[in-house]
Amino acid sequence: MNLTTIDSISQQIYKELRMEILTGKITGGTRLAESTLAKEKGVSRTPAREALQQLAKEELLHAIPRAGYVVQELSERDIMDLFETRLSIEIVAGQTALENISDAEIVQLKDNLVKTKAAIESDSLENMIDLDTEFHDIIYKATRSKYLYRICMTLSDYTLKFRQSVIIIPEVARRAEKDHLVIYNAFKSRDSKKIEAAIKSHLGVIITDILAYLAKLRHESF
Amino acid sequence: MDRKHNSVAERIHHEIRMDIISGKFAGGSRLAESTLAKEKSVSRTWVREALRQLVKEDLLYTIPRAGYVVKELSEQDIIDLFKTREAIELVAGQIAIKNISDAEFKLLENNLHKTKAAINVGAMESMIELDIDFHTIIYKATRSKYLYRICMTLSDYTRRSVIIVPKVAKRARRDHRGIYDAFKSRDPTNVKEAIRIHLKVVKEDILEHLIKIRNDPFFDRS
Repeated sequence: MNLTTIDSISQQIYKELRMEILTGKITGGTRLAESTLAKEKGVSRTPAREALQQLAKEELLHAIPRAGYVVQELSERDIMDLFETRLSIEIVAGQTALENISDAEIVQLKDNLVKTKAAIESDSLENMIDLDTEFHDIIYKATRSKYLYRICMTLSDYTLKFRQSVIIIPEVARRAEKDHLVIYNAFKSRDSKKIEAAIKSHLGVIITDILAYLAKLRHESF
Repeated sequence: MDRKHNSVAERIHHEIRMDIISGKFAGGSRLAESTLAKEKSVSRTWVREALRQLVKEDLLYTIPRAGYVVKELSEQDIIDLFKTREAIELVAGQIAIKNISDAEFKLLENNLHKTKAAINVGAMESMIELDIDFHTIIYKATRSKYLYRICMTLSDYTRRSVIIVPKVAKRARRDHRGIYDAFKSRDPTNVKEAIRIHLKVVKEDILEHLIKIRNDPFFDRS
């Protein structure tokens, strides 16, 4: 097998495993071994090893000498850090997007809001996470910055599992929809102060939701 | 800062990486496994592993059957990169100023002394490492693991196309001194201004240099 093939197989395994970790399908603390992974995915050990190494570099796994890898478990402090970092970066992205957003993109935001409203009204909250991700993605793209986009996407991926857990709570979904409307209006009015306030308030509330959710989980586990 | 290299592969990876970041291997240069292995007197396996790691870090790309090429950033990429880095470093600076400790101030002072000495003797490699360390101290003072990682990635990216010439190093040291003073004053506005000035100067130096080498096919890169 040539190097290019190994690379693309390892990339595919990497992407699959990454999503399984980020969506919570594989939970924190799970052990992963090269040989088991290779067997499970029907590939040789080299691409399996490389995928695991790459995830370890990203700190989604940590290596245990001679025993394989363990899926990283985030502490409450880590989760707070993650969401607070996302808050700071999204404010930067919002300000940058405001300078560049096109009328077509503002229409896309509007379309997203219409779909979100319909999803809430018909009680089909299973699509909410995709709609939420899409809304923010339109803004990231409007930054016209490859680097800022990549950072925003990484933070969006890392927070996926948590956002997914709370966005299906009807009350949270309804509030997110209202917040998105405020962000949309801020973009329409092209007011940078309003954008900052709207994003701050939206993501600030989500942090509170996540903490409440985590507290509930902890309570239930006893 | 002392960097420990657990394995030959890690050491080789670090050395090649520094050569790319410092511009010794300029954008567009071809790197061959066999030549590097001979130069560094290690087996080709170690070199291959290091090169493949650098591909994942986006510093190199592969051409099937022809080896590895150092990635070249376009002018637009560099502008995007610096704009993003500036926005994020301003956020980091504002958070760091709330948390920076006396011990960290000492580290910054120490760094400024060593940088001065390195400039006086013209030690290029040390200047680059000291520059990285200076910024790293500030990133760590944010107390945010995620923000730290984002800052490190952006700072690595911006360095890759830089060829540090003494003029740039001297100016950077003066700017670092300005950042240090701003932190000492504990005034967020001063910090913002000092970081902004520093990154603006570096960006202009890099662009000027880039235009010069791109317009001059006989430019001596060594």
